[in-house]
Amino acid sequence: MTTTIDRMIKSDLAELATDVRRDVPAAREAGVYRDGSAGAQARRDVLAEERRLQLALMPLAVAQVFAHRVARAAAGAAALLCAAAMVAFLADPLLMRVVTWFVPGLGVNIGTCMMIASTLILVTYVVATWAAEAWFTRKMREAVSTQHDVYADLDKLAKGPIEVAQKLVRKVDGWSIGLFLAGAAALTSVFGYLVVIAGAFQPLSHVLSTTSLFAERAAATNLGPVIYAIAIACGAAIVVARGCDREERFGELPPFVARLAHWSTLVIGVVVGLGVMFATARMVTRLQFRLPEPGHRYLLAIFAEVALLAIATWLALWWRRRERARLGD
Amino acid sequence: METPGQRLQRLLPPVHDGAVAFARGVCRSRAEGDDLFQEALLRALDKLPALRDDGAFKFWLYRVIVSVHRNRYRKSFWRRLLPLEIEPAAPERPRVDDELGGAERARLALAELPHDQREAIVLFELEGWKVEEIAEVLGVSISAVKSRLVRGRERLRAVYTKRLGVTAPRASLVPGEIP
Repeated sequence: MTTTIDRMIKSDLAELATDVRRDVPAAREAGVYRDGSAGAQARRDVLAEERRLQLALMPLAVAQVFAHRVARAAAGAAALLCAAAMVAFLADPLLMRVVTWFVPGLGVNIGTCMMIASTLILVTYVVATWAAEAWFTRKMREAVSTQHDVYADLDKLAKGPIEVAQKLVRKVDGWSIGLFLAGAAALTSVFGYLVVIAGAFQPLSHVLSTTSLFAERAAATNLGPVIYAIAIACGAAIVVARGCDREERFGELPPFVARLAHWSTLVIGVVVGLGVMFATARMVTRLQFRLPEPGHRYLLAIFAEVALLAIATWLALWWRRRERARLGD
Repeated sequence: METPGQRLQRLLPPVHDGAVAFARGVCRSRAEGDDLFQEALLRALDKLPALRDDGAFKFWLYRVIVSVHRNRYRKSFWRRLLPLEIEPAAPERPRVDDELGGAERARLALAELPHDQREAIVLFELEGWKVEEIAEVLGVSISAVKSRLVRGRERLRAVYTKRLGVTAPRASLVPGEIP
């Protein structure tokens, strides 16, 4: 049987040798300026078929990672907006009165604010995931589609759908990390601040349900540490995001960001966080109806922010490592 | 003073037909092969001043064709990301050995070969080159060319039997022989 197939291959190759030498244009005719549209069209068709096959076999992980990165960035931005809105409401209680005037019966307390913020962030995440998936699908369809202009198609198809997808995924990497970090740290700082302020003036059991918070001058006059904390969070988020972006471009994380991805960062964050929580609880219970000294407050805010950022950064970088493993990077 | 265009016009005619045939042989269709040759000529025209010895033009031109062909279908990135072998199951494919002409069948089978094996097979079987000449064009050792030829033939056999559904004609049974 092998011999028969070998003979068949031999004779087929001989036929092909004759075929490829048929209709060879004379060397003088085959100038470099001949119209190559038939060849270009053939090449375009082969390439388009190959690209479509790539798209059909493209791992779902690429689309999923892209959608979740976009959603994370959107949710982070929503959290940042919520934090900014909360600070604005605290700085000027009149704003909050305007809101409650539009929504009669809305008892504004920390619990309600937390619920509204988390609902908003969750809805943003879900909607952004859907939108990102739809947009990604459209981009992929465009990446393998062909038009009337053969040469434009060849230029476009030179990049496969996976390269296009990978580029999109990399493009949103820094944004997803930065906005997530900034949003999470800012919103947690604001709510932490509210709990401390409310805890200083109310029994702990009423902290989440007190409605007098936004009318209190204490919340408005002591906003300094929160604003500094949000600024620190945004600065740190930008540094980490730029580090991740740098890794996507140059293939290496900056040493500072690489150190943040180490497990010891999580341990430090948890230890400092527990210490801050313990110190805050102790201070709040001891200083009923009085706020701590400014030095204490700023120190507390700085340590709280360090703990928050350490934990959030480690989690974000760990999650990013998982995503990169899924993408095969 | 001879311009690169004039020099190409002078050097090309003796090797033109063979080079076109080679380009057609390594591509999946004649039109694609003509396009490859066209692109290789443009590249050759661009790089011709770097060629010192006119006697080496033939191998040099073939090397340019090989290089252009490989650059066109380089896909290391997605293969790294997606290490899947696309191997359609044989039963899904109808028998085509009777439907296709020999040349078309050989073209289909050659298209299934990796670039290095395809180039070696085309130069050896279609162009009738010696192994030493192929080694010089492909820039590899003679033993590497031999190895590519052997592996290419094995793969061709596999493609003929599994992908193209070619089977050997059944021999008539000798009386008394158990089938």
